Amino acid sequence: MKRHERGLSWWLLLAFLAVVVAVSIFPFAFALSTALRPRAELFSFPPTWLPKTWAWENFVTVWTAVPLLRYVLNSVVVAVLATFLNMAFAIPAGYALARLKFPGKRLFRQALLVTQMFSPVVLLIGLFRFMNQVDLLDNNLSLIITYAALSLAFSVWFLAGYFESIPIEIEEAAMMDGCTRVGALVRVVLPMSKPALVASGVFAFIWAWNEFMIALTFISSPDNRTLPLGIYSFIGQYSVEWNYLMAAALIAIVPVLVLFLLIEKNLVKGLTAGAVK
Amino acid sequence: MAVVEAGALRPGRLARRRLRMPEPMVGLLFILPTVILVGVIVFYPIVETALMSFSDVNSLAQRGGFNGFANYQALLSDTVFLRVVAQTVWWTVAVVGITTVVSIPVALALNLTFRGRRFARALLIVPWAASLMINAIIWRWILDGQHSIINGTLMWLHIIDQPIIWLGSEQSAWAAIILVGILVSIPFTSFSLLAGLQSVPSELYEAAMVDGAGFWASFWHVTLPLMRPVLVVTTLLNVIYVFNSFPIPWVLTQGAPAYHTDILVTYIYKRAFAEGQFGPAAAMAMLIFLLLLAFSLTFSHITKERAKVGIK
Repeated sequence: MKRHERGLSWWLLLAFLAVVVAVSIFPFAFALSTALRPRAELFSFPPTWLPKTWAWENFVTVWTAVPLLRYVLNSVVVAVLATFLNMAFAIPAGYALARLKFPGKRLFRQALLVTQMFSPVVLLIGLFRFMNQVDLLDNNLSLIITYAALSLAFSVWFLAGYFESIPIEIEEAAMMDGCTRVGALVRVVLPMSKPALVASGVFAFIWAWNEFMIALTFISSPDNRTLPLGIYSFIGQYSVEWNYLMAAALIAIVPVLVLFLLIEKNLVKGLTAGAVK
Repeated sequence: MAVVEAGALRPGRLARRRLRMPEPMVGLLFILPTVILVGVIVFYPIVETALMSFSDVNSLAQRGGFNGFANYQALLSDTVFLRVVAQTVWWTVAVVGITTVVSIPVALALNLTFRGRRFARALLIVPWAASLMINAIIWRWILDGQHSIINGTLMWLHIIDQPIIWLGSEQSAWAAIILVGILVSIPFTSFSLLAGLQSVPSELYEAAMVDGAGFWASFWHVTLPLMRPVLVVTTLLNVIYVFNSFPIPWVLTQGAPAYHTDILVTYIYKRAFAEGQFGPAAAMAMLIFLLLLAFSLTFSHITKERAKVGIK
């Protein structure tokens, strides 16, 4: 390819990329331009692509003008606890898949792979019934458990793959020195697996942070809304405050963008395995 | 294990070794929490949905007696359901097809060396980092109602003289829904194809160049065949993602006008949670379950191809 760089095909490809990037980023640029407008400028004609008065204070007032703080706190609690639950279960299971012989291992591996392909909507009706039976509807605990479970198959697979890549001799040496299995896992394997632990934790967190349909089904009272649900509830109101809505939407993206950059190298690997979307 | 035995022979280690649990026991204990959680949250609901699909279910999702295939039969006479199936196929094929065609040149471009490549990649990640719901809600603001920025701009440029309710009519609403579907799918698809491209050894290009192949010839005869495995995996994953993309139609139109922009996932949701028709909704969910199960079994065969492209 090197010889053809700067040829016609080089320019055509770059021009195409520029168009795709421009169209992809346009809604977010316009969302920012909306978030920085005073209310009076939302529907001005002729249309303005940039605000005339820059209402930077929107990003401050949005926290109190709508219950944004409450939504963010709910989402943080749900996503963090779901991630911890997910990791606490995925680490031993991933280790067992990578290192231990036990009956039913093949079945376990296959069952996990299949669950990864389940459509959440297929589970939704049965899950709703279950959460109703155990009286967890409209309780964020239902979301924590569900989110942890639905990203678990991926985490186990991802961690098992990484654990397998660690030379087994290191654990054997530790166990020779009297370490137990759990000791070898905690003191030897986990410290060596930091990148994989971070990546799978990030995937579990983003999944929980972005999830919408299950939250829409389980949560009914405004106080329990997670951030996606809270943002969606703006448009149910009789006059939508689009500038605040766009500010809240942009605020919701920031943590995910930061985390994406943190795990850039593992991004494609994780997403091909179906973790985040 | 032999190494462990040897270690255990050392004085003082014997007692501790005897306390060690046998390996199969440790393995089962380690997977137990996962088995329970996935069993309760994934497998139990499937069983419950299956039972509901063969039962009379009241509007509080409580099961009554079995009613055989009545719920399934009801689907066959539900013209809306048949319509929504066709719409779902159309939506999935259009979004995945166009996304793939657009993403191949995007991946090729991202594989070139140019100034600002990192910046281009960072910008392309944004729609991916934002959830489907947020992408959809921003597009709703761009398109919604009479006073949207699109209408304002087109009127100001005198391209149209009346505002168009883009999300109000079937054709333009579909165009909008499919556009958003494509835009949110491009980042994942092109990054995944890029990863596949980067695993193509550059000697192969150079060999093609030495043979005098131009850009298009080397693309058709070298790059594309080598990208086949990653294209297959990415397309299959996209089919599942797009099929399941609840928030896009839900936030943009909620299926309006009159179910004409519904897809199966939004239609099931409506039947169950808005109309209280849990029986037929469960029957639909079971059909989707079987469809996706068949799909994922095909997929698990194809995962062998993933190893070849270096994506785990």
